[in-house]
Amino acid sequence: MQPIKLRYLLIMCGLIVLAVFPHLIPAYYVVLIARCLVMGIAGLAFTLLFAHVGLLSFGQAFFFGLGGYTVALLMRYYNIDSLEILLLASLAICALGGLGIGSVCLKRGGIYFSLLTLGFAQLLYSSLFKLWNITGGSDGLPLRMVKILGIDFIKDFGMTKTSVIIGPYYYLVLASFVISCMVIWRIVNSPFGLTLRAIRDDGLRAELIGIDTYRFRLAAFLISGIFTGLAGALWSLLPPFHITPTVAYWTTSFDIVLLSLIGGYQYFVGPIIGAFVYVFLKQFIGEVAIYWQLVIGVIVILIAFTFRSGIAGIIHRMEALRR
Amino acid sequence: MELLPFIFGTLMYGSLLFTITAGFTLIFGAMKVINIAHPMLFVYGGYIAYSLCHLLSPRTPLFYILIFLLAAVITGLIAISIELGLFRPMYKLDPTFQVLITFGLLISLDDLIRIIWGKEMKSISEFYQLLGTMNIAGYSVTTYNWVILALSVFIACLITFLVYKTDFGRAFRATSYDREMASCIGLNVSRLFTIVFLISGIVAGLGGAFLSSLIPLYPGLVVELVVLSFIVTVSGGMGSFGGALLFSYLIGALRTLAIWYFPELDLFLIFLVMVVILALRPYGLLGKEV
Amino acid sequence: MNLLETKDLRKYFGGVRAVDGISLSILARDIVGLIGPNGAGKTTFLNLLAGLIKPSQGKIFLENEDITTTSYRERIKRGIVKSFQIPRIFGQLSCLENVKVTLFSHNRMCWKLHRSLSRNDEIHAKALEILDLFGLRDKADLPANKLSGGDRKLLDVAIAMCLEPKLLLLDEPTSGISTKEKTYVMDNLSSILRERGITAIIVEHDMEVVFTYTNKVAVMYEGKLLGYGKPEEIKEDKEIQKYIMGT
Repeated sequence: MQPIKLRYLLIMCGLIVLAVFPHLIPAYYVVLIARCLVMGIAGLAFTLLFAHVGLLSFGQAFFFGLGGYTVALLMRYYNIDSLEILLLASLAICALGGLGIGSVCLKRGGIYFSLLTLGFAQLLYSSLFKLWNITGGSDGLPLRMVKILGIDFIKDFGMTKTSVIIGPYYYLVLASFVISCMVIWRIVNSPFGLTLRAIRDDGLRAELIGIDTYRFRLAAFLISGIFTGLAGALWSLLPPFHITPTVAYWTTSFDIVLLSLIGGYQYFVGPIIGAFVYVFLKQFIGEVAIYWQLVIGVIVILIAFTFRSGIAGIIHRMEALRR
Repeated sequence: MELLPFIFGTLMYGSLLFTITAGFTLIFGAMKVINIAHPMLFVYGGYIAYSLCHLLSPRTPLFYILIFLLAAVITGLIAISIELGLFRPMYKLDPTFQVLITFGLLISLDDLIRIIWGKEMKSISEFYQLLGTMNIAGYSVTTYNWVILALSVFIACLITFLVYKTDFGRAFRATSYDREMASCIGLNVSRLFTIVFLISGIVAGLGGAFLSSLIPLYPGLVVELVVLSFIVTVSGGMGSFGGALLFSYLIGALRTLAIWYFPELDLFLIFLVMVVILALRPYGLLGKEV
Repeated sequence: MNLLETKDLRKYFGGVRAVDGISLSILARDIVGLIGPNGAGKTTFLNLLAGLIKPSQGKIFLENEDITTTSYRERIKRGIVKSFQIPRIFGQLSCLENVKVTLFSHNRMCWKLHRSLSRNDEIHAKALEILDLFGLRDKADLPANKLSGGDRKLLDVAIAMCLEPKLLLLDEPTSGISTKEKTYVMDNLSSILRERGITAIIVEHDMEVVFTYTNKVAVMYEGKLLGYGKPEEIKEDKEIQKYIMGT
């Protein structure tokens, strides 16, 4: 069998499994998988910037938090519980936010970008704290169940909150994940994607063949921000139906960086694998060891020194050996 | 607002900011070494001083100062061990990975703080109270704040002296311009780096020890400091010591005004000023086009 | 017809007179060799023509139009393209991708998000054509940073060629490569230039290359133009011999 066909087969199987198994396993795990899918979107967004433009963003939490809080605030103060509107609003706000901070962060690349994005994320975080009478400060805000496609599953169908989460909402998350994968895949494998990679390799040379590198980097930054915001919005609507400023804290940025590294940022599936590994790892180890940060820190250092191609890289190498 | 409180406020806050960020400007700005974990030395200096104070229960200001110096030395030793253990193998890697590694180090050390000292805020308030207040031109000012001012002046002078008037400083500057050339003309670059780390560790530790009376220490503080230090370094102009000084006092002045009128701004204000400065002068206040 | 004309072009860097009053007329389809000792200002002159630096004084005319104040991007659009002394290529991209991205840029296709990089693309075909011209077809899928020195030069020029230049500015296209490769490179290059009617200014140190492949030679010394004419004339000029010999 040609390798390409095998890959399609695997993807098909994966999708079928993801679609079917919510009916077969406890609700707890379904929520966990939903979290994996959401973080997978965030990971893909980060990797778009990192692998294809060479920009290491330490401020993905900015968009993640912005996405989540847009949903929470709209729900709380405008009583909007239509999912479509909430998601659209989150994406719009993230796009605006991206334009705003992008113009500053992208002035120079490299570490300036990394630290400036971090800075803006921290700015958002401290704003969320300071404006406590609007955002609820460290207590955060609660969230309700949304109406998907205008249908209130609890009222109209008599479903419980849990069954909506592992039913319609889960499939929504899955659909978002699949669509995100398809869109980002298309972006990466288009002339636009190639242009980004050229800019990554030699920005000056790209300029000298007539490419406006700033505009392209800004576009990539916006795309990345929008998808991360989507992830943040979807995340906020999962249990425990509560959002706190932590979603904008630098640890969230770091979690995203970490999962992309673990999975292997040089491969498209890398961040997806990384998201699954990371969410499960955090759930089971995080419950036992409170010093999660220490663990992450050490893992990041180890990966940077040794396993640079991540899990996907290891799989790739094994495949190559088999041939 | 009146002139004298304004001047005091500017000097206080400016000195505070400068003391925190001086080392970072030096290493990151001048040597172009990606060491984001530098502010960590600052924080550790404070925590170590805290523990020493608890251990030794000082009574007099002199005793306090001696403890602070001890904390500074210990921090310097920690700095060297980090340099030798982690940074040496790191230099030959891609800058992106250097950033990742330094960050990994940062957050690991941050958690270490949580393990050793817990997550409650810590500060050495006794020294602060011990020195009491002074009366200047009819205003009552906390003496400790003047100590900080003196400290920042001392640090500025010390670093300026070291970098511009000593052989060591000359070697340091040569290396920051061109590392390869420096090693070609016989400078032991590795040893130079280690010495720089030692000095920066000691200075940061000292600063941290002194400042732990003013700023409460808590895990997570370091990231705020990283962002702050970076902003000061970039806004002042990479490697420009004078620029960092200028920017610190500029922020001091603005913040003093702002606190009078808009108390909530804080970090926002600093960011705003940075953005404006970078828009007008992309290389920072006193930076030069590289 | 004059393709390019410079009038008293000058560039000063502080006290250094890198280009000190050069007035030159180049006809279309000329292949001009620009020679002179190191530090004579040849690269600076090319950079001025390409729009990478602004002149301190003087004017530049392309097809009788004053382009002195245009940006480098404008000049690329008008057909002035420069290649580099130290070849600049997109290291992690394959040779094919290097050429493709340049073609995309030239054809304003970089923003296409929906079109895939599939093999049926006309750009793909054109890219292969260009690689063929430069003898890099068999290395199409090789990452550019794995190329030999000579091939890198060729790729750099290939990239420049994708931009359909009217005036190609080549900065030492044969430096750092073996004699055999030099002939290979220059043979390919000159036939491409002649076929497509491209005017070129080639900075060169290798006199053999200059006298074999060019039809006009310009001599620069300390920022000034010492002489400009047919290669044989320049060779015979005693004055120029005095300056150039011994470099």
